Parts: sequence; C-alpha cells; structure tokens
Amino acid sequence: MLTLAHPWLLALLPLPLLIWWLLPAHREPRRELVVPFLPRLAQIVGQRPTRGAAAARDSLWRWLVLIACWLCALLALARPQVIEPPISRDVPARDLLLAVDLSGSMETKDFQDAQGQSVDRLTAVKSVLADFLAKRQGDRVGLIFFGDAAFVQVPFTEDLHVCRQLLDEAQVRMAGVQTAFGDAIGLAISVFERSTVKERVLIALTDGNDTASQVPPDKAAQIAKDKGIVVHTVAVGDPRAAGEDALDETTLKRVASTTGGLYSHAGDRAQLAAIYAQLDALETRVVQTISHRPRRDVYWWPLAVGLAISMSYFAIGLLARAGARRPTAQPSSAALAAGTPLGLAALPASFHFIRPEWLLALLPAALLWWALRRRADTERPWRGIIAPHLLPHLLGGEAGKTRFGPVEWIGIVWLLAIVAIAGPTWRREPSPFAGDTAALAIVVKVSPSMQTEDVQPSRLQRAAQKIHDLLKARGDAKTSLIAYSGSAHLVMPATKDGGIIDSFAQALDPKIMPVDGDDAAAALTLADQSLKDAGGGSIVWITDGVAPEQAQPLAAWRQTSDTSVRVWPPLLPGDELDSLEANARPAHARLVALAADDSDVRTIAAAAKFAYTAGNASDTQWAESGYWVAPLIAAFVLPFFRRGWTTGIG
Amino acid sequence: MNDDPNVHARLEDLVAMQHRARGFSFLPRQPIHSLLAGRRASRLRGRGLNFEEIRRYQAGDDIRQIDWKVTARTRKTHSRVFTEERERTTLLLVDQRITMFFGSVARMKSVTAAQAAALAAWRVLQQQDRVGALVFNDSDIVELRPHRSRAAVLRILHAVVEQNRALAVDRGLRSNPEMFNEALRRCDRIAKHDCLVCIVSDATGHDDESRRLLTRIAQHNDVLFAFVFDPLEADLPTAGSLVFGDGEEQLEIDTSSGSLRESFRADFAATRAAGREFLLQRETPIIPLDTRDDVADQVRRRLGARR
Repeated sequence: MLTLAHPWLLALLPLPLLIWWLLPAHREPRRELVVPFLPRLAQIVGQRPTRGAAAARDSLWRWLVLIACWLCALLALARPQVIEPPISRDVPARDLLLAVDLSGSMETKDFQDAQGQSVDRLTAVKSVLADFLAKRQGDRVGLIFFGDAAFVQVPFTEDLHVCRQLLDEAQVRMAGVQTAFGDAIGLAISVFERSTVKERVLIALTDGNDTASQVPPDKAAQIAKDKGIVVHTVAVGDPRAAGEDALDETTLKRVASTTGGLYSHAGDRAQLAAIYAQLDALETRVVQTISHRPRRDVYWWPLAVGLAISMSYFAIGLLARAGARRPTAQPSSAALAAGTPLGLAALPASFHFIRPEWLLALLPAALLWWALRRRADTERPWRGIIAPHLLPHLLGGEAGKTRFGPVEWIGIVWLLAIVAIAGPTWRREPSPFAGDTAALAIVVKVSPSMQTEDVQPSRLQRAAQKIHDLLKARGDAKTSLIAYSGSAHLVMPATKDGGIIDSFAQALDPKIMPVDGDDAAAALTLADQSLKDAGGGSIVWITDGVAPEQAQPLAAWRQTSDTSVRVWPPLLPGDELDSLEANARPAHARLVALAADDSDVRTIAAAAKFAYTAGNASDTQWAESGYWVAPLIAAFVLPFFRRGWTTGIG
Repeated sequence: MNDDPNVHARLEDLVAMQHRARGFSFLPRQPIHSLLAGRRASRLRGRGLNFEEIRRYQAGDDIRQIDWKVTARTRKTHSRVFTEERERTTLLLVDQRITMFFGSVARMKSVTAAQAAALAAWRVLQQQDRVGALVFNDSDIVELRPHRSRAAVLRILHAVVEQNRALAVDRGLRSNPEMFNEALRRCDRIAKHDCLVCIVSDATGHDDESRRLLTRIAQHNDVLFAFVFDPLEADLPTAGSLVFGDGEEQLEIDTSSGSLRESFRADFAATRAAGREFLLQRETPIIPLDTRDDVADQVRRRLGARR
C-alpha cells in the first residue's frame, strides 16, 4: 500500500508559478563572436538580437519535462512510503521454570519407561521433559538444576532446542549428591524476580526429600505463593522406596497445593497430562503479539522517474543535434573524475549505499552533463571556425559569466538525485522489536593474573563491574558469557536475562577454572558458537594478556570467523597493554581502553548493538537517509522555472 | 597589448611593405591583365613637361628643344630632354572602423586595409606621385595632405597604425555607418580633379548618399575601390548553434539550417554584385581583398601581374 508521509507538502505545487512570476527574467550571459554583420544576420533570420542569450529555446517539450521533474521532486518530498504487510512477533506470555533434581538418588533405576524397561530416574525426567518441551512452543523456558545447591543451567529462553540440549547434558551429581529442593524454589523465585511476565510457573522434578536446603521447601513455597508463582511438583521415583532415597510425597504435595499447583507422579501419565492441561487451561495461552507494519521509504521512485525523464530529454536533444555537429573528442577523464561524488573516506565507517548500483547512473549523468556543458559553452564551436590567433580578440559577452549557471545546477540536481536514489545510510533503523539487537559474547580470562590489584579493586572485579554496567546499558539484548584460562567454558549461553550473566560474572574466580593457561582461541571459538545460536553478534574480550603462542590459533580462528572482536583489557596503559595489543593482533581485535567513567561501556554497547549480524542483516534494517536530500533536490529544481533560466541549456 | 601582427598592424610591417609594392601600377599604361587595362590608356591626365636632363643633340631631336644657352656656352649643340609629366595625386581613404576589426582566417580586415593602404602609398611614392590620405574610424577622420615624400607616406602609415591599434571588441566602440559617407564627403572636397581616389573599406554604411558622393567624385577623378571582406561574411559555416554578437547584444543562430546559410550567402553576393555594377557604371574598378591571402599578391593579381 502506498501512502504519503507528508501529503501537505504537495501544497507546494504552485511554487514554480511564484518563481516564474516574481523573479526577474534570467539572462544567461554567454560568449559571443563579435561580428560586424549582426544587423544583416538578424534581418535574415528575422529575430531581434537580445541582451544575453536569445529566449528562442523555450519549447513546449521543455516545459513539460520541467513540470514533470518538479512533480517528481515534489512527490519525493512528500515522502511516499510503502506500508508493508504487518510483521507480527509472538512474545511468550508465560515463563516456565523447570527445576530438575540431580542429586545422587536420581541414578536409582526404579522407573519404568514407556517400553516397560527399567531406567534411572534422571532418564525418566529427561523423557518426561522432552515430551513437555515439545508442547511448550511459545513459552519461555528456563532450567534449574539442583543438588547440594541450585543453579541456573538455562536462563529463560524461547529456544527450547537449546534448553533440551542442555538438559540432555545433565549428569547425576553434577551439583552434588544432596537435594536442595527448597533452595531450588528460592532460586526460581529470584529468577522470576527479573521476569516481566505475569504467569509464572515452576515445575519441579525431584525425587523429594529435601536434605540440604537452607530454606525449607514449605517456607519457599509460601514465598513463591506470595510472588504469584505456581509450583507444580512431579515426583520421580518409587513411592514405596524407603530410607535415604525415599520419596517425600507429602512435601511435594504440600508445596504444590500451597502455590496452587498440582502434584503428579512422573510415571502417572494421566496426571502429567492433567498438569499440561492445567498449564494450557489455567494460564490461558495468551500469546502476546507485537504487530508492526514497516513503512518502506520509496521516495526514490519518483526521483528515479524524474532523473530518467530529464536525462533522456537532454540525451535525445543532444543526439538529435549530433548530426549537425562534427565528431567530438572523447571526454577527458578529469571531467569524469570531477563528477564522482564526495570523498567518502571522511564519513563514518558504517556509511554505505543501500542501492549502490544506482551510482552507476553517475557515469551517464556525468557524460551528459559534460556534453551539455560543452553545448552551453558558446565559445567552443567558434574554435573550429575562427583562426586561433584571432579568436581571443573577437570574443565578447563574457562579462558577468556566473560560475553556477543552469548547467551546473542541472549537474548538482542529478548528482543529488543519484545519491539520494542510491540510498545513503549510516545508521540502522531502530528495530520494532527490542530483542533484535545483536547478541554479545563476553569472553573473560579468569586466571590468577586477573587478580592483580593494580586496577582497583582487582582486574577481575573491575571487569565484573564493567560487565555489570555493560549489561545494564544493553538492556534486553542477548548476552552470553564465556570464561577461559587453560580451557574455555560457556558459563552462560546467550540470554536476555542480564541479571544471570551479571551474577555469574561476579562469581568468576580463578579457583573454579580446571586448567591454568591461556586458550584464547578456544574461548573465541566458543563465543562464536554461542553467537551463532543467538543469531549473530560481536565479541567483547576481557583479558589482561594474550600468550604469544596463541598467535597461531588466533590467526587460524580469524580465518574461519568474521565476528568483530573488541579487546577490553582491565589494564592501565603500560607495557602489559602494549604487549596485549601486539599479541591480540592476529585476531584483528580492536582495543577499547578502560575508562574511569562509563564512556568505554557506552562505546561497546553502541558497537555491539549494530554489530554485523550475518543472520539478519537485511537491507531494510538500514535507515533510508536519502530522503533528506529530497528537499534539497526540490529546492534546486525550482530555479529552473525562472524565466530564461533554461534557455542556456542544451 | 597583444602584438600579433595579424590582429593589429605594426608600423614596421607597413614600412616593410615598400619592398613588396612592385609588380603593379596605377599608371595609365597598364599591363594587359590589369583591371585598369584598356580603360584609361588613351586618356592622359596631367599636363606640361618635366625637365629631365640636358644632353648632346642627337639626330631626331626636336630642334625646338635645343637649349641655346648651353649650346652657346659649350659650343656644342645641346638639347633639353623633357619627360611627360605623370603626376597624379593619389588620395587614400583608409577605413579603420570597428566593423573592420574582424577576421576569421589569417588576419583582421583592418590589418588587411592597413596593408593595402601601405602598399598603395609606397607604390605611389615610387611612381613619384603625391600621396595623401583620409584615415577614418567610427569617430574621427584624419586628413593627411598629399605630399611627394617618404615622410608623408610614413605620416599616413602612422595615422593608420594609430587608429588600427585602437580597435578592440571590448572597448565599447560603437559602429558608426555614417562615417563612410562622411569620409566620402571629405574626399569630395579635397579631390577636386584628376586624382586617383583609392578607397580601402568594407563599405559598411553605404547608401544612396554614398552612391551620390561616389558618382560626384568619379566625375573628375579616378576611383579605385578596394573592397575588404572576410570569408565568414560571405558564407556561414555549418557548425550547429552559434552565438553572434556585436559587443552588447547577442543572436543565436542555428547554422545547421541550409536555407539560412543559403539566404545569408545570397544576401552577401547580391549586395556585392549591386555595388560592383554601380561602381562599374562609374568606371570604377573593384579590387576584392579578402583576409586570407597575402594582400600584395591579391593586389598584384588584380593590377598587373601576369597570370
């Protein structure tokens, strides 16, 4: 659908009349050959000589073309836009947390799966959840594992596939042998704190018997109820078992009933179906839909039409007269060079053209303009007629020759139009969906050297503070966290939940790293991986040094990846910084110096926002800035309506 | 000031023309191919006899020519030898108006006129005749009385050069066609009779009055009209759109139009033919001088040289 953004600008339509009326007629002074037989010539031709150029060139065609060009310029000024079919995006209305028990008791093989085979409890959980996740399309799902303590394995994500993968990787005793069920509910509560969704559901899969919680499950359930969190409990295991591995059904039932959830046994498929049904029914599946009808600027359509009309008019005019003229020399390359636009070097790096192929039109335009200019140069034809030593003494009418005559204006209008049509741009259009900003992978080196306290309080802590600021600046954007020393680990896959990343970043400590050393390349590879899952983005690399022997692997990594990397060392200027810069060079990393204020944070946040994302970098995301040339074009077209203005051309 | 001798005449060039002023004659006895041949041969202007020398009497000498005083003193018969008096004052009308400041090929019409005038003046001096001139531009007429001396010729050339060098398109000089008749009027007053009036001009501004004046002058004098023109005045080139002007106003002409060029050519030819016919009726020959070829060659071709 085509609409005009500023239809009121069409009211400018009669402006040319005003110009025609009010401005005094223009006389284009031109070079002339002073001849003694002018009166005789005038008598023969039947014209009166005039001051300035003769006005004999005004023709109906010329006026038609001019008016058409004005209409095109005005139409472009009114900013025609194509309203595209609405793009809608489903925003999950529910946040589901799955709390999975990984305590030692979970390896007990007392569970019958669908085939009737006996499997351990964790496998049962996995199969139950696989079922479950398959039906949860449209919800955000998070994953909490708990054993001795609870931790977030997967922050809320819509990517159920990743969730599933991470669930599959879960091992019994990953988090210790005990069962901190209460703490898991507590963690879930704090995770939900950061969620904006109203419907909050926690599904706890456990074999019961809280053994290690700081908060008892009943208390936690009470708090959860206050926070409006519904806890469904799924018991995994044999209800008849006794002792350490006994199933504490009463607690589970109580927790469920306190928060208004359901209790079920994992083996009890009917009951599980009831839970699913309740999830679907109770919290009506309100999938919030953000709808957006993008408006695409098509100001360049009328501009292109106007350009085509004017250029073909002059081209036809020139060709028609070409027969009467001697063949001319080829245009000098200097003339062409003068026609090419602007030194682009000074513009921001993101400056480019959306439709660069239109810039090719500069070539014919420059040629045409050059030909027009030659025609307008009334001295030139005399050169072949009058002997060169006499000609300078016979030329007159030069006085008052303006530097910017109509021909130059035509050149300017064409240049502007072509540049506008090509669609210059240097910024991205703010996406209607905030989540569309590119992901960022934060790679942190966690080595003993990072504990040096030359930067207060320590390099690692300063980095954590900066990460905190950065996450705040990035808002809802996806961020992942990778820690490395001798080995690289994905601490947190890309998530919009900045709080989790923050808390993990605060907890980074060299002691938790299994191998000491420097495996930067592996970390960057891992970061690349996480970014690929998140739809592309850039890497921020926080390190205080790169081992020289990493040069080869880094270069090799750079061969395979074109992700932009920014090194953000928590270092003060000095030798260390210099050697870091030198050693990080194979990765083509750009250095962002640590700043006392948050200028570095803003730099990185801004850069990360519009990082080149291979996945979703389509042209429509770039803001069409060429429209702002349209008023200029219209303004430059106007003078052509001045009487006598067009007579000097063509 | 640009010193191109083809744009503005230089005195030294005009002085040097004396060496080229040969091979043609303004005298009654004309070479067979001259324009003047067969026209004036029988009619001798000038009267009396010029003393040439005293020499020993030779048989056949007219006895009336014997100088008795010398014969008595030397006791040998001597006779005086007289030659015919050939004196014929020549008056040059040299046009140096702004309309003459034009040329498309080799030199300006004004330079052509200056050279032609110089050629004529030197030739006349070589023939021992007196030469005077009326050098005129759009505002002044400089009158130089006829004298038979090198100094007189130099004065004429000086006056010509002075007016010639004052010509330029950007000095606001306005064409004054009236000056042509004015110069003829002055000429009519000066050249009473038996003069050779040499008009070097492009005839801009000629009208019935000029015809009347020319008729009057030609009654008692010989008139020779050197018509100076430029090829571009006779024929327009085919060069698309051209802008012509006169220093103030402009006219743009599309010279690709064949009919336009044809009428331009016809107009010039008609004007020239009419002038030629008119002058011939008054026994006045025309020497067309274009701005392309050498002036002395053109004059020699018309006035004498064998082809």
